[in-house]
Amino acid sequence: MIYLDNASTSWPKPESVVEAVSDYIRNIGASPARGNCTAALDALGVVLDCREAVASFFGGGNPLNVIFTHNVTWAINTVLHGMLKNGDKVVSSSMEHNAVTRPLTALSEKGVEVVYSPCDRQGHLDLGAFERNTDGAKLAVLNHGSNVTGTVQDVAAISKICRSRGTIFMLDVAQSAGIVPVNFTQGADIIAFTGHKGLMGVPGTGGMVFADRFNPDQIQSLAQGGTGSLSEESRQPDFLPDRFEAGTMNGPGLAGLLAGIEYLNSIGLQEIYRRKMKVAGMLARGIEEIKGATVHRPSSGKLWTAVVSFTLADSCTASIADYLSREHNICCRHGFHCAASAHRTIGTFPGGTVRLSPGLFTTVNDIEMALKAVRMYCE
Amino acid sequence: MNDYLYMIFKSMTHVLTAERAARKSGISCRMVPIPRNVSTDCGMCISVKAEDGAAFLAMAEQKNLKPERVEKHKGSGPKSRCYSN
Repeated sequence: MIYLDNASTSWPKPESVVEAVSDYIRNIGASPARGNCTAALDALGVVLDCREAVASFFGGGNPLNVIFTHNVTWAINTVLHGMLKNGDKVVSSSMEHNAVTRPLTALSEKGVEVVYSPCDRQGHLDLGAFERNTDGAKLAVLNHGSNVTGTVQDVAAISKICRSRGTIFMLDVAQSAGIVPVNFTQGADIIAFTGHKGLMGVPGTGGMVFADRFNPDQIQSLAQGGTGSLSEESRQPDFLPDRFEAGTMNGPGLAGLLAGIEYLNSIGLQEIYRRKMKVAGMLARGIEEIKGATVHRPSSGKLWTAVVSFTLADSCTASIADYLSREHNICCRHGFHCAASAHRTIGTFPGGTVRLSPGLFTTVNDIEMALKAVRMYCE
Repeated sequence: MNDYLYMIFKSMTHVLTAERAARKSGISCRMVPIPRNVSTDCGMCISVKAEDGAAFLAMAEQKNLKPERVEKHKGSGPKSRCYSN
């Protein structure tokens, strides 16, 4: 199998991640923050180590500002549904994933004003329009890297606009974390992340991190339940992280996420970006040489998350994906990638694109095989 | 060239459940990405030879797995520009 769907979830995982998950299940087992036995304390230690690793990775200060959730979608929903009410205004962009657009649609039906700011055909936000649209907005929510084109937004410029308007800024880093630099010095108030893509952890992990200056009292919890703290009280604890972490934690998953971040740190983000650009660039250039092919990506010199989204003239993207899978055992995605609005923006609606997303372990040989397969499809 | 039917379901879970049920019933079928000219849904559907269509639909009805839609198409090779062409 040639795995080129790392934008959905990264694979393979580093061996240290597999070992960490296995070790937790085999040798720790207990539930974090539940009970006083050694195993329970070890489990809590793993979760706290993971909090510290996440806080450090995003350049944040307090590890208790790291909230773990099932995935990034749940984190985004927690902030949107927990903060916005009838009469509030929220601004987003035309490049968002359904993780953002679907909760925003649900909120618009409850009286929240939702404004989508336009982006150009490469997916870059029109900062002038965004500045105008941010007037009076309580919250701005934007993805850092597009899952369709790999376009990376200018977080510093967006943050500056939000700061000048008194607008809270939540940055969705599902596609960018572990590939391009993401940290609080760029100015976001909340970073929503997933553990199983660029951070090399396993599915079922993700969360949100609050900047130290951000007041989380503005967000109501979506779910209430056991936290292993203040058990005599029927009210949900109001302190972090317990306020947003009801129910048993995903200990094995967080052990894996911790190992994933440690793996990235051992290589360094600059080297990771260089490796991904090498294979993704080779793939994109190879497809661009095919007659009738278009790769939908930012222009040369712009930051890019190594997503190679392409179309072939007069070809159905479903047919291409079926051919690559069935005849060459290549894993890819086709269609809208849960981001129809992004395809309207870049001009690939309703056909969508075929998306090949190399990862940290993609080889030059994998790329050569994939290019050969696409060429054969075109013959 | 054979005639085929696309069985369009409302979710991937329904598609896979129906495909497993069809296999258990000995009905030949194949899961394929839904062609974009049939639907802009990015999921998959089940392609069944037209001659097996009635048996598939009867099985699906019995298992409470009735497809949302059935679309006719001409069978074609895996490299077709779109299955229905």
